[in-house]
Amino acid sequence: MGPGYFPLMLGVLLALLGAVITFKAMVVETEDGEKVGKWIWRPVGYIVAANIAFGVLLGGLPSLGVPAMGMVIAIYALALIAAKAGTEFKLKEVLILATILVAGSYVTFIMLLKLQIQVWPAFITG
Amino acid sequence: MDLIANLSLGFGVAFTPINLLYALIGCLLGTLIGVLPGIGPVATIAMLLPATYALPPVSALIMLAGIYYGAQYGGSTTAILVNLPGESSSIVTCIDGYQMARQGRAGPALAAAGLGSFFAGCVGTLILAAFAPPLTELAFQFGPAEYFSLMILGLIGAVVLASGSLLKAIAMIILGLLMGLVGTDVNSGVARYSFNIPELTDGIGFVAVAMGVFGYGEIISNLALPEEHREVFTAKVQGLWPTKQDFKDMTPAVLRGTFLGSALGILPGGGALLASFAAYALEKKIKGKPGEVQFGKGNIRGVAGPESANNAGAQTSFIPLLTLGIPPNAVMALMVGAMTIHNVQPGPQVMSSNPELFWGLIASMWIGNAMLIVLNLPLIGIWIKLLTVPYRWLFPAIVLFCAIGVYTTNNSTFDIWLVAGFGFIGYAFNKLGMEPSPMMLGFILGPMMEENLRRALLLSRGDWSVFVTRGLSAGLLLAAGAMLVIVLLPSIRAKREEAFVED
Repeated sequence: MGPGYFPLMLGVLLALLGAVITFKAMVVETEDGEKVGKWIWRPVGYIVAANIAFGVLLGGLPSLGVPAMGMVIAIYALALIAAKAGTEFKLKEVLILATILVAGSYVTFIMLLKLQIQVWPAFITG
Repeated sequence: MDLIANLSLGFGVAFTPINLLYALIGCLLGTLIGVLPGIGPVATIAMLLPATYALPPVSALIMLAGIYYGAQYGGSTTAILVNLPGESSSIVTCIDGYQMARQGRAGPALAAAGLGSFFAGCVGTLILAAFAPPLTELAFQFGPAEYFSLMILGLIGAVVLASGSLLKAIAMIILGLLMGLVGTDVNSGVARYSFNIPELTDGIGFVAVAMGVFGYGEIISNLALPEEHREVFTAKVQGLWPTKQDFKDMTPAVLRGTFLGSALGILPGGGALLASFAAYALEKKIKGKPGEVQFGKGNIRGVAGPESANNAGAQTSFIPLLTLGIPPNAVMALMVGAMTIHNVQPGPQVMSSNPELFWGLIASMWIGNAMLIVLNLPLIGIWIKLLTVPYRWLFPAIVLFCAIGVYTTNNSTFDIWLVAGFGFIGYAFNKLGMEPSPMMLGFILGPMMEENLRRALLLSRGDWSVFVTRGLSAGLLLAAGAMLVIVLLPSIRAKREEAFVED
C-alpha cells in the first residue's frame, strides 16, 4: 500500500478504457459517428494567450528577469488580446471596455476586497 | 419538535443583516452571470468563489448557495427569452418557454418558471431539513469501507444518469481521480506526479481546474460557434401575471415537477439537469385537457414542470453533500472545495460540530429563493437589458474574472498558467465529446477515495473481502453494480438515449 498503489490501479483501468474507446472509435461503424469537427485555433489561441500575458505582466517572470508590470497594464493587455478571439474587433470599443474593467477591478479587488495585488509597475512604485 | 428548533436556529443565523446582505449579493451575482448565455452554474461558482475568500465560512457558503440558485433562475430567463439555455438544466425550458415568448406570452412563462421554482425551492428546503438528521445518523455508522463503496456508487450513479457515452464518462472520472492525487502523498510524504515542480507538490487547485475547463472551455466553445441570429424578446414582456387558466394548468405540473425533482436530486449524479429532463418527459406523457396548447408550441406546463423540478433537484442535491460529505454532482463538488477552503470538512460531523453553519445554510436557501422571486419578476427588465449586451464585450470580462480570481486563490502566477492549460484541455474535451462534469467529481473525490480505501485495507490487513463482507458496504457496491448492468441492457440503453433527446 505505498503511494503508488491507488494511482497504479487507476492508471491500469484508464489505459484499458482508453484502449476500448479507441478501438470502438476506429473500428466500429456507427450511424452518428461523425468526425471530430475542425479545430478552431483562433479563440483557443487568443484566450490562452491573453491569460498567459496577464500572468506574465501581473506577476513578472523572476526566472527570466521579466519585471512585474502590475494589474492595470495586465488588464489592458488581457482585454486587447482576448477581444481578438471574437469575430469583431474594434480597437476603440476594446479600449473603453478595458478602461471600465480596470476601474471595476480596482474598486472591487483593491478597495473593497483589499487583495494584495500590485497595481502599477514595480519601477514606478519603487 | 426538533425540526422547528433547528430551523429557528438556522433562521436566527441567516437573518442577521450581514448574512442577508451576502445572500442578496450572491443571488444578484448568480443571476447576473446566469443570465449570460453559455456560462453554466459550475463556471459561475468557480468564477465568483474567490470573492468569498475573505468572508467567514457561514456567510461564504450562504453567498455561494445564493450564486447557485441565482444562476439557475437566470438560466431560465435566457432560455425563455432568447431560446439559448443559460445552463444545461434549462435546455427543456427553451422548447415551450421560447414558443410562449414568441406568442407574446413571455411574461406568464417567466412567472410560471419563477413561481414554480419558488414553490419547489420551499419544499426542497423542508425536505432537506427533515431528512438531514436521520441521514446523518446513518452516516455515523459508516466506516472507511462503507465510504469507499458509497463513493463508487456515487461516481457510477453520476455517469449512469448523465447523458453521453458511458465509457467516456467513466474514463473521465478516472482521469479526475488521478488528477486529484497529484501532490504529496499524506501517508508517505512522497510527491506524486509533480515532475519536480514545487507548486505541484501541493496538488492542483480545484479552482484552476473548474475555471479552466468550465469557464475558459465554455467561452472558447461559444466563440468557435458561428454567430447565430438571435432574437431577443425584449419589448414584448408585458402582462407578467399569468391568467386564471394558466394557474389552473400549471399548478399540477408544479406539484409533479417538485416531487420528481426532489426525489431525483438526492440520487447521486442527479440534481437539476436530470430532474428537468425527466419532468418534461413526464408532463408530455400526461394527457392535457382538450383544447390545451400542444407541447412544443408554448404549453405552460412545459415550463412550469421542468423549472420546478430543476429547482427542487438543486435543493435536495445538498442532502448527500451535507450529510455524507459526498458531492452528487459537479456543482456540489465545487461546494466541497469551497468548504475545505474555509476549513470546514464536509461530512456528517458538520451538523453536530457546526450547527450554526449547517442550519444557517439551510435557512438561507429558503431566503435566497424568496429573494430571487423578488429579483426576477419585478426586475426582469434589467436582466433583459443585460441580454442585449453583445458577447464580444462580455467574454473579455469573464476571462479577466477567471484570471484575477485564480491568482488571488494563492497569490501565485502558477495557477494562472494552470488555468490556461486547463482552458485548452477543456476545449479539447468539448471537441472529443468528453463531459467534464464527471472529471470534476472524480477530482474532488480522488483524495477522499484513496484515503478511505487505504484505511479500510489497513484495518482488514490488506484483505479486499472487507468490502463485501460488511453488509452496508456490500449493499452499496451491489447497487452500483446493478446500476451499471441495467444501463448496459440494450432496451434500457435505447430509452436512456431517448430521454436526453429534446423533442
